[in-house]
Amino acid sequence: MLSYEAILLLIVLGIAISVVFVLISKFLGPKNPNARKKSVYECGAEPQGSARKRFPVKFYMIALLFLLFDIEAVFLYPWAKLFRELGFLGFVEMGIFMLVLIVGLIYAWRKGALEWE
Amino acid sequence: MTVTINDVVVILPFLVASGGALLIILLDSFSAPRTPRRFLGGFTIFFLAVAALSAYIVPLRTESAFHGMVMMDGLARFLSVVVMLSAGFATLLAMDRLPEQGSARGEFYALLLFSAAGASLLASAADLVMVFLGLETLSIPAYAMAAALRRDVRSTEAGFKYFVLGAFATGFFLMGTALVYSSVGSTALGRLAAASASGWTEKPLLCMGAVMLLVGLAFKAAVVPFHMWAPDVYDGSPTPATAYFATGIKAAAFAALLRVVILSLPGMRAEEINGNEIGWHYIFWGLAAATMAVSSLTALVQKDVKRILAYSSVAHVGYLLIGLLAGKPGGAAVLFYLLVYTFMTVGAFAVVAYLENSKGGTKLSDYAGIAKRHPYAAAAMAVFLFSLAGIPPTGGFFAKFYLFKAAVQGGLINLTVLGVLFSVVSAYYYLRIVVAMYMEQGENQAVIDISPSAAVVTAICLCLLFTIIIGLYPTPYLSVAQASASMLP
Amino acid sequence: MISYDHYLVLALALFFIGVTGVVLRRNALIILMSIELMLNAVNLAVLAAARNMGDMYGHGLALFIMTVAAAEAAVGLALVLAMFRHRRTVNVDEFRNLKG
Repeated sequence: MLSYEAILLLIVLGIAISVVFVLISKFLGPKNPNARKKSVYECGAEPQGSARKRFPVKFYMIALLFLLFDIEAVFLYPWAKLFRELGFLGFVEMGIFMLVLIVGLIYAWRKGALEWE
Repeated sequence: MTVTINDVVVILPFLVASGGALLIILLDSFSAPRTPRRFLGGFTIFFLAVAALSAYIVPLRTESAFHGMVMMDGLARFLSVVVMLSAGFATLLAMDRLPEQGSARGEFYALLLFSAAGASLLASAADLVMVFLGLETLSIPAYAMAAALRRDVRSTEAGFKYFVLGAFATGFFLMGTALVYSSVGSTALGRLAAASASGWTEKPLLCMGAVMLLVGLAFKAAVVPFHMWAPDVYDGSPTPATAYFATGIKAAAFAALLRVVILSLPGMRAEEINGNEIGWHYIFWGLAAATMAVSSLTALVQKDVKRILAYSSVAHVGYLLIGLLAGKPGGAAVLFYLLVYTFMTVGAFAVVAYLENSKGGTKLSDYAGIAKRHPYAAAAMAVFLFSLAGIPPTGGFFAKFYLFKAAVQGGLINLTVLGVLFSVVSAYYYLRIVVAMYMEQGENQAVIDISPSAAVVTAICLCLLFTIIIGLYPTPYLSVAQASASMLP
Repeated sequence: MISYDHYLVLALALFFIGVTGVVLRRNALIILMSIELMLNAVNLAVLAAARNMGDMYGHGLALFIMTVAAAEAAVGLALVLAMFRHRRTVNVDEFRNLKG
């Protein structure tokens, strides 16, 4: 527990200092706002319309495929780490696993899920 | 780490079914887009048959494999065959009816095979991890099967409801697994039995975990009060999928209940604490009584034949729970019941599939007077309904007879009385359909304008044949069930 | 010292937050997230237990839970999309064609 005291101190000090600076500039700084000053300063283009609009369904399709094929890396990583210990049998097992995934990929490809238009 | 021939042979039904599913995906992918997918149904039935036979290749004793993760015993063999039968009949129903209803795609067959493979894995699981994997391989394709009719909003909604409740149940099952694992230190079902044998009342995590496992499986098996999804899903799904959900998935869920709760937690059956008897015996007692009562009474007021059959399948879950409670004689009775139940329930759904068309035609009012127009279909339906009600000389009578006999032998007199009572109530709602078919005048003659289907007729005839044969001469089927159950510890 | 019990309490708390979300929220996507929360709470409990006991089986179980959760999420998301195409909304109160 003792070793975390420094971190706690850092958090408290960090919050305190930033609050103090914000308060100082709020009370002491001169204020004469105009339109250009109130715009989004040096943060890219002006936002056009709401960000909460509907995305085309194509993105969801890609997201679904990504989700499925990405998570399989969970099994590939431990296998790669233990490649020598698992030996040829591990290689065959992983081959079968990849084969199943490839069948899924072929299915997605033939059904046109990979086409953007 | 080695894999022996024995390991492979033990999970052969799973390998055959899932390999078949992969092949069907490839065939479907490389067939021309708008050609009929009927031939894939033939492949599906072939793979299901090989999978069912492969369960009996190994010497008929208990074989354990993959470091005790899976186990092929009588229960696993028998239920694998029941599931493959159910999936085979569902394929027959799907071959003509799904294209007519607007789903001419091949995925349905692959999903069915994957789901049957998962059911087979579930039936032979000897570890909570394998139960979980079997359960998910069984369920995830089923969500998609329920939503197979993409243009039908009811089918999509059924798929979504099935998904939400199924995933919810999975969550409970997994939390139960986690708690049991942290309490026992292992997920092997054998170790669970040893840990729950004594002093379980001192292990709060084990008790809580066991309850959560039970809740998760009760959802999957549609036990009251966790049955709310079943009527909606069974109603909205395409009828071939419904036939499979009501029989194959139910059989697999009972395999899981039998393995996880009854066989692995024998010590938690009942124990006296401070003068109060507690244990899962009493929980199951209440669940069985509630399941029979609620489903039978709700079925009385339903106006759709598919919904009546859905509540009927929930009611049969209640009877099966009595069998689970009845101890050693109950095991054989449950297996025999599941076999007969598969034939009669699939048969009834097959008649529904035969009579429905793209505009529906599953309302009770649609069935008014159809005995005149479709005398054979009506007669077959009547036989299946009599069998479901347990009226001799049908298979359903013997199934109920042996179940209640086992219950009396197991000392469950009160539950048996309740079971018989609700069987009488159930006869009323089954007879409502018969009365509508034979005695009422049809108002809307045009609704049931059906196209004949050889595959559906084949399914009806096979189910009819077995329902009657088992009713006339049940001994061989019963002895197979007894032999399968005798290997249980 | 943070003991196994702390992890277990946190996992159970997360799990029941997820359960509450599934039961109370009406947005289909939030329901999906709540289900994911339930499964991840289980993963926390399993991993904490495995680490506590020095047992490797729990780690394997966690990997399986992650993969299955992804497969389930994919099917669930696809079903939500299919539902949205019919109804133009993800509010589950609108999904009531099957009330009997």
